[in-house]
Amino acid sequence: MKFDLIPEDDLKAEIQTLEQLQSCPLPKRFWGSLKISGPGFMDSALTLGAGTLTAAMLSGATFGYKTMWLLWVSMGLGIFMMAAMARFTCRGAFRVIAVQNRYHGWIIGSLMTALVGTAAVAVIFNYAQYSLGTHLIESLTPLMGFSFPRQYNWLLFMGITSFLILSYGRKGRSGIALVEGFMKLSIGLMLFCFGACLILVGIDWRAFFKGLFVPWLPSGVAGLDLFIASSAAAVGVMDWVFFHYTGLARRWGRHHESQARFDIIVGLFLPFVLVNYLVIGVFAGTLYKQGIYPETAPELAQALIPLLGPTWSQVLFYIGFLAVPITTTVGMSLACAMAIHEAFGWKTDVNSWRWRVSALLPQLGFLAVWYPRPIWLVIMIGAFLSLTNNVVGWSFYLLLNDRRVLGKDRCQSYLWNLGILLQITLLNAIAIIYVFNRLGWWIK
Amino acid sequence: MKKRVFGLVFNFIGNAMAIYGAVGFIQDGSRLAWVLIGLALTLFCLLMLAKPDMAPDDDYLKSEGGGNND
Repeated sequence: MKFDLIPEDDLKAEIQTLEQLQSCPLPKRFWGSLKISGPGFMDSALTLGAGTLTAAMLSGATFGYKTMWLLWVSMGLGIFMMAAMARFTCRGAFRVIAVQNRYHGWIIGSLMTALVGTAAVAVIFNYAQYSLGTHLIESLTPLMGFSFPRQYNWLLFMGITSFLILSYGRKGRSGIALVEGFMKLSIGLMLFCFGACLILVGIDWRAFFKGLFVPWLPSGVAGLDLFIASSAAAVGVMDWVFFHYTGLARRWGRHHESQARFDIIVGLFLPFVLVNYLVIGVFAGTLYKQGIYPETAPELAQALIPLLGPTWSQVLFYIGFLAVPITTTVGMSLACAMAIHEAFGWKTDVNSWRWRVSALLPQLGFLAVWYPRPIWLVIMIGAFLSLTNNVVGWSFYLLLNDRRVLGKDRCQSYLWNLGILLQITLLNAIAIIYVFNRLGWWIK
Repeated sequence: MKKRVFGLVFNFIGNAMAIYGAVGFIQDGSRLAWVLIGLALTLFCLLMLAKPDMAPDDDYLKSEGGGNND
């Protein structure tokens, strides 16, 4: 995969830094690794989108702190597959979709993984990011003393996101560093803003720790649905693919696998769970106590705002929340471009029209300002995803254990395989429940 | 590899049986056998599939899958 290549000297310097960090004390090693990190943060920014945050808000408003344990369980399961992607990047040094096509066929590689699992999802799901982002700008600006309705502010949203999307990979390392730095900053902003709101709202520490460690689910089918959907939904095909290809863009090699794992934990796992916990906490401390149950993200935000008190906290909440759709739009757009190029075997060149068109395709989401997503398309993509995500998981599990693909670098860990298989089992459950629902066999 | 593919397929079948049984069990207490057999099949498959390939590498070469920078 070609971007404007990270210069060889930069890469050698980074490898030298990584080697030196091994002998440093822990704090210095941590900060040094954090500076070099990037793809993990890109992934958490991608994953922390309108859907995830809406689920967190709803969870907090409906169940209080009770379902917090689901987050570290679901993301914890997800990191096993992410580690597999790190192995493909660092030791395999291959483009995984091309390898899927070779060993498992183009239906699994180009179609299921690239075009549907990543590109189509990016285009369709970006509607929700535009819908949320433009709502938030429209709600935030009056607090600052002026009005900026959705009918116009979508231009600002598109401008900011397009600039970042098209900057990725250009001018050597600096383009990648710009986008990775923006994602890191945005994660920090989310943590700061939501954290400030939570401090203002207050935490019921007993309920917090109970929700963190004591498994609880609503009774009956709602509980089963929640467990399966939450467990499988934290990390999916797009996350796996995006982490792999952003690692390739960084020219990660054998020396980087420990760094990649650090990135998964510190860049993906921790920000994901922390941001979700903060949002759940804010809503558990407000709407849950009042028994208010709006359903959509804008309604949830609007119901929350009066309960936050002073204007500054409301502004902070909106700013932290606005970082969510912006970063997800950027991440999904880059994932879309990478996937389309891989699906058709095109050489990736960030200066080409192909790259620009592929990367900007999800910007069709601007239509969300006036039109809802085409339901038939959402249903079709949703159906395909439900029925194929598990198959993609099977494919990656097989590649990780295939000596033809990885040789002596194939998986040699029972626990690692087991973690991946548990996630695959949950993805299987989603496919099975989808079919059962269609056949009328699911719980009524 | 073929064994692993079959293992994944049987794991899927076990998952389906367990879920099918769970639906009946939640609704009216029936199909417990489906749940037990499905769970047993799932567990067996997971435990078998988790075993890594520890056989010594003989003359297998890591196959070309496309370089990082082509």
